[in-house]
Amino acid sequence: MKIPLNWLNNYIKLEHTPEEIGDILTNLEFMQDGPIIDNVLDIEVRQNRPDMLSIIGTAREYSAYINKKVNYPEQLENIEVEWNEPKDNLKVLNKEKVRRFCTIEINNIKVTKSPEHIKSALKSYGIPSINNVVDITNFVMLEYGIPLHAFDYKKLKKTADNAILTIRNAKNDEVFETWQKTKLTLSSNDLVVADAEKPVAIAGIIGGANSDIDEKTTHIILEGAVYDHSTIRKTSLKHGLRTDASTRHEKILNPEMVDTAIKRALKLIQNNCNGNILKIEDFYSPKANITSIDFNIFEIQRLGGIYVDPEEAISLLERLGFKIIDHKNAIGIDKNIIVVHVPAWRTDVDIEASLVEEVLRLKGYDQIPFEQIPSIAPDYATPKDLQLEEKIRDILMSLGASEHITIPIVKFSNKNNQIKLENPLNAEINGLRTSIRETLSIALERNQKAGNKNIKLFEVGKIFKQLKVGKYTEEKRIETLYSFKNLSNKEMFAKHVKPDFLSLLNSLGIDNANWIEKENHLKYYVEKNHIANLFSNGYEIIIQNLLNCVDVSNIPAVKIETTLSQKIIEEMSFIIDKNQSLGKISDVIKESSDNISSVEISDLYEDAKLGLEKASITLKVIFKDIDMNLTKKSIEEIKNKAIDVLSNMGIKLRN
Amino acid sequence: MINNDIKNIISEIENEYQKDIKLLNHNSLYLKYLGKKGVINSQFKEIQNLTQDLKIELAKKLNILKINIEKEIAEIETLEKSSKNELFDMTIPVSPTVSGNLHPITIVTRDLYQFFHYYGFSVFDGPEIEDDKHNFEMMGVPENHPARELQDTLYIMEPEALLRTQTSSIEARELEKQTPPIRFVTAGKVYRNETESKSNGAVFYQFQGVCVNKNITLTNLKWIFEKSLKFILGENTKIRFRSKYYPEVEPGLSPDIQCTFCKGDGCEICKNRGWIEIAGGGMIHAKTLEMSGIDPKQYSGFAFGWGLDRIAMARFNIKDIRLLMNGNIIYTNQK
Repeated sequence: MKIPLNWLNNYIKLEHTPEEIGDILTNLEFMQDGPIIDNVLDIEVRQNRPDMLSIIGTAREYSAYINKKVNYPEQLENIEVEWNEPKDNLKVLNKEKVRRFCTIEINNIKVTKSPEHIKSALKSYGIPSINNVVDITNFVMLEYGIPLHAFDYKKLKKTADNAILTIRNAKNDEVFETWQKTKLTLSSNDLVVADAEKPVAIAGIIGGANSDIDEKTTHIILEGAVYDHSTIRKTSLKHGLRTDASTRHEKILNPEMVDTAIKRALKLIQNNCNGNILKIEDFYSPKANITSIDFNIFEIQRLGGIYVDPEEAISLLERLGFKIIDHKNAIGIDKNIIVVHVPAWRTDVDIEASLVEEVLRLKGYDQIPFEQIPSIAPDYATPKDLQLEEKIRDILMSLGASEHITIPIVKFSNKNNQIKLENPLNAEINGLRTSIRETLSIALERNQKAGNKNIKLFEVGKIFKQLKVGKYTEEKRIETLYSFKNLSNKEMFAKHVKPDFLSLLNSLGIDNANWIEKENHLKYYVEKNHIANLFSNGYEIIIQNLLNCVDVSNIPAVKIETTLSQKIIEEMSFIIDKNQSLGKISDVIKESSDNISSVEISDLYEDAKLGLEKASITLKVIFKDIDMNLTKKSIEEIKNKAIDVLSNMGIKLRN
Repeated sequence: MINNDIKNIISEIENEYQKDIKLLNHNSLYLKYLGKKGVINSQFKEIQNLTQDLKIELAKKLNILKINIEKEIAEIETLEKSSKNELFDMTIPVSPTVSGNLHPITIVTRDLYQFFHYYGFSVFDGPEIEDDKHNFEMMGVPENHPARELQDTLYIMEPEALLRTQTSSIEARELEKQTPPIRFVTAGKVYRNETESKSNGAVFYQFQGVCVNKNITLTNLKWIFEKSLKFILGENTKIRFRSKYYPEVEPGLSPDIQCTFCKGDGCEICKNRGWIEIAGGGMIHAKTLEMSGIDPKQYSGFAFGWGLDRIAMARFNIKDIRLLMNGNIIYTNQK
C-alpha cells in the first residue's frame, strides 16, 4: 500500500523522517516494501488488515505510536433526508452475497475539475484525476479503505417494474463492458449491479462503460457497499481483474464503516460539486454489532511472557482506538479483566490473544526477553520408521550411492491405480507417481548425459495410489537406480546391483530373506513381509514392511567372529542348461553342509562345443572352517554329496 | 615304534605348521620351529631313545622337513620385508574412490534435526495427501477465508482431497494425537499450484516446529528462533523480531535477518528493505488448540516454520531453486 507522506500529514502531524516512519510501521507489523520515492512510503499489508489499505489507517497506527490524536477529516452530519430501506432506487436479489448496499441519490451536481489538493493527493498515489465526482469516490476509498462508486442517474435504463439499481447474480454468458472498454463474459457466480437492461458494474470490482460520470452529469447515485468477500475474490481471480476496489472487497470489511465513508464523501461533494440529496435507500443485513471482548490482562503474561501493568495495557489499547468499557478488578493478578470494545475498522480482532498482540506490538517486540523453554523435554518419541529411513540413507551412501529428490508429479497414464490431479497447471503434470523410479529416472538420464559412467542413485520419498474414488494411499519407499556404461545389464547386476542389495540386507541384520521370481524382478520377503523388490538395474525397499523385520537400534548390524576360523575356497565347474536358475544350484550346494558360508559365481560362459542350449558355470564355494577342523577329506566328501544331488538334476560336473 | 608313527609325527608337525603360517610372522615361526628350543630340535632330542633304524629314518624326514620349513620361512621373510619397503612412484595420478552423497535438503534437515534434538524436539512426519480440515480449517483458514489466496492449492478432488500446501497439516495431526507436553519438529514437501521460476518451485520443502505445554510464551519462541537461526545461518547473523500475520498463530512473532550484502542499508538483493523475511511463527491460535482437543486456557504453545530450499541454496551455492528437485544435480565426486 502506497502512503504518500504529504497526504498522511493531513491526518497526523509527522514527527519523524520518512525513513524513521518506515521503520516505525515495519516494527508495528507493516513492513516497508522498497525504497521511499518522491516522499511515498510503500508498506506491506496482509489479509488481516484491510483497514491499513487506507491513509487514515496508517495515520491511526502512527498516531498510536507517537501518542497523539488523529485529525479525522470533516464529515457531513445532520443529514435531513430519511434513511430508508430499499424501495424505488434499490433492490437486492442476492442477499447472501451482499451485506450492505447504501445508495444516495443526489441531483444539482456540477461536474468540474477537482480542487488542487484532491488532484495532487491522487497523483501522489498514482491514480489519474478524472473529474470532481469520480475523484471524490477514489479519494475517500484511499482515505478510509472503503470503496465507493457513483453512477450517472440519467444514463441508467429504467422501467416501471424495476428498481433503479438491482444487485443480482449475472446471467450465464451475460456480457459486460468495463469503463476501460474491456468486454467480459460473466456467469451466475459473478455478482453485478444492474439497471433495468444490463449490468452497470461488477459488484466490488469495476464500473461499466455506460453509466460513468462525465462533464454533463448532473444527477448521480452514490453507493458504498460491503459484500461476501469470497464472492468478490473468486470473480476477481476468474476474470483476472485486480483493482483498488477488489483488493479491499476481497478482505473482511465492516459494514459500519460504510457510514463513515459515505458521510465523508457527501461532505466533499457538498464542498466541491454542489449537490442536493434526494433519497437514501440502504440495504444492510445483518447489522454489525460491536465486538466486545472480556480481556484478562494476565493473558499478556501468559502468552507474551512479560508483565504489563493494567494502566499501561489500557493506555496502549486506547491509543490504538480500542475503548475500555469496564474494568472488573478482582483480587489476584490473574483476575484483572477489562471489557474492550473493538473499533469498527478492526475486523481482525476477536479474541483475547489478538489484544495481547496489540499491546505487545505497540509496546515493542524488542521488549520481550529471550527465555529458555522452562520445562523438561518430553520423552524421545521419533517413530521407528523415520529412524530406519535415516539409517538406510547412510548405508546407501556408504555403498557409494547419491541421493536425489524428484517431484512426485508425472503425466497421468491411468496405470497402477494412479491418482489424477483435478487442477494441474498443465496436462503434462497431472498425475502422482506410483513408483519412485518413474521420476528418479530423470536424474539417471541427466547423469548419463553429463558423461558419468558409473552411476548409483537413490531417492527416499512417497508413492501414491488410489484405492477407489475418494480413498487414497501413500507409502514411503526407498529406491535405487544404477547405470554402468561399460558393463552389460547382466554384468552390472552381478557385480554391483545384487551385491549392494545383499550388503544392504546384511547391514540391516537380515539373514533370512527369501525371494520369489517374478517377470522382471525378484520379490524379497522375510516370513510374510514383502520387504523389497530387486530389479535388473536397482532395488526398491518397502519401509513399512521392513520395519517388522529389523531391530532399528541395531543398524548397521555388526557381526564379529568370536572364534578362530579360516576360509577355504574351492571351485567347481558345471555344464548347465542356459535357462537353469543359478539360485537353485547355489542352494543345493549350500544345503550339503553347514560349513559352507557362501557360493558365488566366478565365471559363466557359452561355447558351441558345449552344446546349443548349454553353458558352463564356475562356482566359488567358500567353506568356513571354525576351530580349524575341516580336513581335505571331509571337504571332498561334502563336494561329492553336492555333485550327486546336482547330477540327479541333470547338471554334470565339468572336468 | 613303527613307520606309521613316524609318519604321524611328521604329519602332526606339518599340520600345526600349516595353521601357524596363517597366524604368525616369520620371526615367530622361526622361533617356534627352527629355534634352539623349537619343535624340530625338541623332536631331534627325543629320537635319542629310538632304535638305530628308526633313528635314521626319522632324522632323515626331520631334516627334509627342516629344510622345507627354512625355505618357506625365508620366502615369508622376503615377502614381509618387500611389502613394507617396496618403493614405487607414489605421484601416479588416480581417481578418488567414489563416495555417495546425501541431497542438500537432507543435509540441512539433518543438521536442524540434530540441533533441535538437543533441545528435546522429536521428529514426526505426516501425509502429503491431506484433507481440508488439517490443511486449512485447523490452521485458521476456513472456507472462503481471505488467507486462502496466500496459497494456490493442487486438488485431487476439491475440496476434500488435496496435496498439502504447508507442513502445518502435520502440526494439526500431531496436536490432535498427542497431549501436552508436546515438542517436535518436522520437515517435508509442500505443493502449490504455481508456475515454477528461478526463485519459486511448485514443490518445495518446509521445516516446522511445535512446542505446547504450560507456561510456554513468546519469550521461548524468541529464544529458540535466535538459537536456531544463528546455528543455521551463522553466529553473527543479526535478527529482529516483529509481529506478522499468519492465520494459525496469535500473537504472531516472526524474525527477519539483516541483509548480509548491504548490512541493513538496502540493496537489490533484499529488495531495498535492508532485512530479509526468513521465517514465520507465533503462539498457536486458541482455536487451533481447541480443535485439537487441547484446552487453550490451561496450555499455550508456539509454532514456527521456514523454507528449507533457500537455506540449502545459500549453503551449497545453488542459484536456481528448480535444480534441487528436477533431477539435474550432478555431484562432482560421482564422475
